[in-house]
Amino acid sequence: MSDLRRPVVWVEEVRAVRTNLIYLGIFLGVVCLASATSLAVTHGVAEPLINEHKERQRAAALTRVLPEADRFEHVTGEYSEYLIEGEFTDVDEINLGYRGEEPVGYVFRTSPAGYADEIVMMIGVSGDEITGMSVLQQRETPGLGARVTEESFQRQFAGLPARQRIATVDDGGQIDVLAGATESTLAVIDGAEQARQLYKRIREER
Amino acid sequence: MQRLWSDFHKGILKENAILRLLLGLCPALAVTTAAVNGLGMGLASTAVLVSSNVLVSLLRRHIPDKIRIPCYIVIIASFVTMVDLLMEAFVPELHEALGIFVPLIVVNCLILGRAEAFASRNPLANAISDGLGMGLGFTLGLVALASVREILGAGTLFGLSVMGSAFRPALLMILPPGAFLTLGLMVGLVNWWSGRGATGHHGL
Repeated sequence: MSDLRRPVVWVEEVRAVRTNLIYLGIFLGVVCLASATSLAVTHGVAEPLINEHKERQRAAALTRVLPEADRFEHVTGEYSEYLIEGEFTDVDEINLGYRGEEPVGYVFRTSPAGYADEIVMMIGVSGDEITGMSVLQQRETPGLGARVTEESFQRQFAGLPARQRIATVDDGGQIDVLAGATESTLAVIDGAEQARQLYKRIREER
Repeated sequence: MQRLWSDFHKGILKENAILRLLLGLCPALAVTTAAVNGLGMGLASTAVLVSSNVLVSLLRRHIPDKIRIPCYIVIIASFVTMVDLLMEAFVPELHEALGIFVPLIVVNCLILGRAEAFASRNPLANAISDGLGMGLGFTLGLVALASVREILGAGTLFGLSVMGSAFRPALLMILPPGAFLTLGLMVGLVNWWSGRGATGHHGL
């Protein structure tokens, strides 16, 4: 009797496992679908706010490094020939600042390699003068390299002559090296110096 | 009611995630360079922990045993991504400061641990009080750790100067070794403190 029943039980077991597997797959699928839906909704709510904040942050940084201008135009495309040459690899954005209809200066966004990661910064140049520098993003060591964001450090760049190389005090320049953060300081100087040289090139050639 | 209270308060000291269970140490060591970061990380983790406890507890009779871990992970990951997006939208400065550690809440073993060990076996109200208690304990642990490091390493607390201008901060405390030193001393202190009462009992 038991011998006769066995295959039937076996077949039923296989069927049960299969339905169970399908059920598990469908269950997990439904969980993922619910997750995707809620994420899409959250993203829809958050994205405009995130973009708005980024835009505001950008506008504030532009004004901070070139206070003279009241309006900025994104002109990276017109100068792309300089950026692909390889000499200005850290420059990733060029903005032209206007006061009314008059162009008054440039703001360059550069991202030199710091100690931990890229340091994203903006530097403004007008006439013969560097008008300001501002670090937008960095992941340097807190308390050491992260001090590149401090006002007392950033202020050193404003008012430097545009025809003169930007360098540390030890190297014959005007920038004080942050204690314990030589590499972060040099990265910022490098970012500023590339912007300055690109500015010089643009002025000579156009 | 008493059960709810004990589910809540056990997470604060008796089973404190950082100081007693030693769970979630990766974010605990990495983000606690400033008290405000510790607070933000703690609150973000608490939000995820409570939300995932709620959902896991509600679904506890429906989630098949064999796929419970993938289900928990999907639930936790979704909440973390939501918290990440919402923080970027509403508190961008804090989001910037916490960096990579917000997405990494997904792999904070405290959250999966509570889903598996508590929320999947207890009714909704208890799961909520467990999540709140554990989250609060985690937050307090982070803030305590971060406060010590910020005071000694930068001379400030929540960004306000507390040590006077003559104080020379010990940078080491803000760097990774400071995290290990502080955590080790705090865990030792809590162990000593909680062992004191038992001393008489065991005659040690």
